[in-house]
Amino acid sequence: MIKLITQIVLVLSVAACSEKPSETSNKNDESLFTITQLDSDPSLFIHQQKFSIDFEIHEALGSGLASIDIDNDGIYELFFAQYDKNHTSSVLYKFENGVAVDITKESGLGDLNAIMGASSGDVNNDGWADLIVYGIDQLHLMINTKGKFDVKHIYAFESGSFFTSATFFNANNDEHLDLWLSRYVEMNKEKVCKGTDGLRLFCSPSAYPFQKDLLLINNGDGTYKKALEDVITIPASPALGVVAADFNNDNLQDVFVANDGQNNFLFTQQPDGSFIEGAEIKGLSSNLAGLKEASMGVAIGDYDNDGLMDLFLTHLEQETNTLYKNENKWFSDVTNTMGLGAHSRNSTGFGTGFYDLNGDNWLDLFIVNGKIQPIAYQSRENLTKQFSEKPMLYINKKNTFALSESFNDHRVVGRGLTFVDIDNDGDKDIISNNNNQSPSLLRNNTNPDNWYGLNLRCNNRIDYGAKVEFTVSESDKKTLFYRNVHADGSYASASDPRIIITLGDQTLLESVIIRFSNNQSNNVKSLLLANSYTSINCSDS
Amino acid sequence: MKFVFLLILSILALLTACSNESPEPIHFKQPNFNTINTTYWDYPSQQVFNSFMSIEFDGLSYANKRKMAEVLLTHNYSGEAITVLDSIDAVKSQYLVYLLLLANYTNGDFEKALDIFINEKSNKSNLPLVNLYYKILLELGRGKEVISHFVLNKHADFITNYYLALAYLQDNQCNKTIPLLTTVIDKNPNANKLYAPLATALQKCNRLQEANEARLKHGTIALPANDEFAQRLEKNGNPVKYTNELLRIATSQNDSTKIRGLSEQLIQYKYFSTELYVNYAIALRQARLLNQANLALFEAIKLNGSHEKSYQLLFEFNRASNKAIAKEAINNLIQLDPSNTLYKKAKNYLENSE
Repeated sequence: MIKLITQIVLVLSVAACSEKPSETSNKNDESLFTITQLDSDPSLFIHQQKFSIDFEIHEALGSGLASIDIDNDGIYELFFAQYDKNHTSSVLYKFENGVAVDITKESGLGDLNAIMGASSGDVNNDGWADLIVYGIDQLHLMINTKGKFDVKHIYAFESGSFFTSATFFNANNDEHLDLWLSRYVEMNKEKVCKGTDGLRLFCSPSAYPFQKDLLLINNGDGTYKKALEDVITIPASPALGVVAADFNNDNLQDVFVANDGQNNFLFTQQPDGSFIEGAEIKGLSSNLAGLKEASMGVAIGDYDNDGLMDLFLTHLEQETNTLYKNENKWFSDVTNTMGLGAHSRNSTGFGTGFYDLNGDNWLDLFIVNGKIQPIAYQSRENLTKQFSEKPMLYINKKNTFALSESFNDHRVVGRGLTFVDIDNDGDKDIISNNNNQSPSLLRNNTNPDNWYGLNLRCNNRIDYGAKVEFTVSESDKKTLFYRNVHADGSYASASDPRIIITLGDQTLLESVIIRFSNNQSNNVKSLLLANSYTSINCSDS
Repeated sequence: MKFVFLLILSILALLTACSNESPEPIHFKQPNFNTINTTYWDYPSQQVFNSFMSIEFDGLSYANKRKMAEVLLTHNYSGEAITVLDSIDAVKSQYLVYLLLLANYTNGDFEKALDIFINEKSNKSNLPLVNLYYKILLELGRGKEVISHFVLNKHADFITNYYLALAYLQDNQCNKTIPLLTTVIDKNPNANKLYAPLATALQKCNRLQEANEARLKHGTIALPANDEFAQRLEKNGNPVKYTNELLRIATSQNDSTKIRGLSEQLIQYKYFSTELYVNYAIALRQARLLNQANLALFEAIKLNGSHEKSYQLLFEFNRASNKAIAKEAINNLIQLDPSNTLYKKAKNYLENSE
């Protein structure tokens, strides 16, 4: 094991020594994050996906990363997906006393290259989080036993399969995690596309035949079989993002697929275990203007605290990102009224997430950006520089989102994005896997004085799909907040699924109602320990 | 023959003087950007970029600067387009103001774009400008301002009504959105995109069955390639791009009436090109308006003195009725291509028929 005292150490230790601000809910947006691009130490992970003269479409898409607690010590590790086929592999970092340690080889995750993304879930309910990694003709289920991974091939996919994202979820209401795998297009290296300047650029997905996503059903022992046609019919589409959530509050997990330049899909789970696609009728296939957009990243969360799961999608420049408000029976595109329209027009968004980033319990939005096409008339020599864009933080102001200007100097080619409380201090930090660059670490400075962390488990594993309702009161005013337990979304990435509740100086926690995926529910307020994560099992109910 | 050309030039000068812009001097030694197609790549675009990067573009003519700005905008150089447009000292045409608004909008300078609109005299009657203003306001979530501007605005086309309908939707007035959108759909029944906001408005007004029907229409109606609504919206309401697109369709259908009308619209926008004048001339000739056709060809030649097709058409149109013009045209063709035997034969034909 080689210990690397890295910039991460510095960032974390500086943060640990800093004085905690007295108020947790009124942070200045400008100082919310300490940003570090981990580029000064060459021994650290650097994403490498050199742009070739062939302009293969995957070169522009980059890779994701996964937050995963591989050894159940309550501290999340970080898996960085690496695309480089020839030289370097994906990397797993463990954090020991704020020191990032490369444990890739001893964990059994060595030699994973040509990887686009990763997703985590315990597929055999043994209490150890497993990992699925994927890319073009790459699909490896890494089974975790006490922190050591063994590879397992779970599905004989067709050659040329271009896996772009995945989510573990319950597709049939049993005790085991099923798996949705999104696929993109049939690559054809002969295809040549040129820009308005007559020079090569990346072809749009519509230049290639689309591939079909896969729903794989867990047999109960960690092996999988493809869902039958009578369970689901999946049209071919260039999918880049996928999330599973209960969008209609029927306690069944549905699946939303974000398609690149084509209508999005919403597969609603029926009581008999089948799925019906109905994005069009729900108002999710296209934006308010009826336009199909180039959907890349996807975020889920109840931003307006109405008990319904909303959706946010990131898009290509000259389109805006899109916020779909769940109106129960349908979705409304409220992008512009919520202040998310115009300012996203000049950016190409990838990884994203709905998380409370300033400690007021309202879900904020974070987006990493990065172009995917060369600028006309510019040399194709340094595309990384051309593609670099600043990330965006939108603070939830209840009736609108306000764009924070704190990232003007941090321009990267953002792709994968994970939200994780890396130092267990009660706020979500953010790490992005930047295309052809070193990662960015955005250390959250909220450092709340009074917080509760929930690690919800059922069937001996993290209970994806569990719901949390908590009520916070301040001066006789009560506010009800909703959360769901998930690690999916963003872009080709997995995030820390733990729930954080933050209390300010004047606020009280009234109740915390959990509805586990097995439909058991309980008020667990009395079980929670302040300023730490409490594991609560559905059997405790 | 010189007399004829001078006469024509005088007529043209008079025509120009009658327009709402001061005549601009002709810079024959300048690069001529007017032949550049801004919609698709063509290699002369490189010339524009070279000029922008390497020469004092301040010395360029009004028309060349306009074209330079268009090319820069087409290739997403909106900041550079603003620089070029801001360097034009002359009173800006409505189209140039439109370009400036568009450039600031695409550059993310929304407040500046809105200021440009507010300070523009034609901001109540110039529909392409009004429509773009509405689009920006809607994207900023300021639909109420669209509604209040519309009250003062006496002009509207279906794009204006479309944006107004979206503004009412933003303002939670679904009862006002539905009839407006229905009117727009009546005029554009194949514009499937319109059914998406209609469905949202119907849902908000709790007309769920109709909403479902609208959603299904959005998903099933196949949009024709030359859908007018989509063309106008997707080109950011750019009147020139839109008219050019219609002109392209009319030309492919050889619809000379439409070609004439659309060409005249573009000339009104002061959007001249050799190709435009040539097609306009052909359409005029088909309408038996020979003198006007000749004038259009002289305009084409003024823009590009070595444009063979213009001289060929001049010869063709006039060889029977106005041999002096035909003779001048054929002499110019021989000068341009001395080895061309067809031109020599044509000259002989003319001389023998005199």
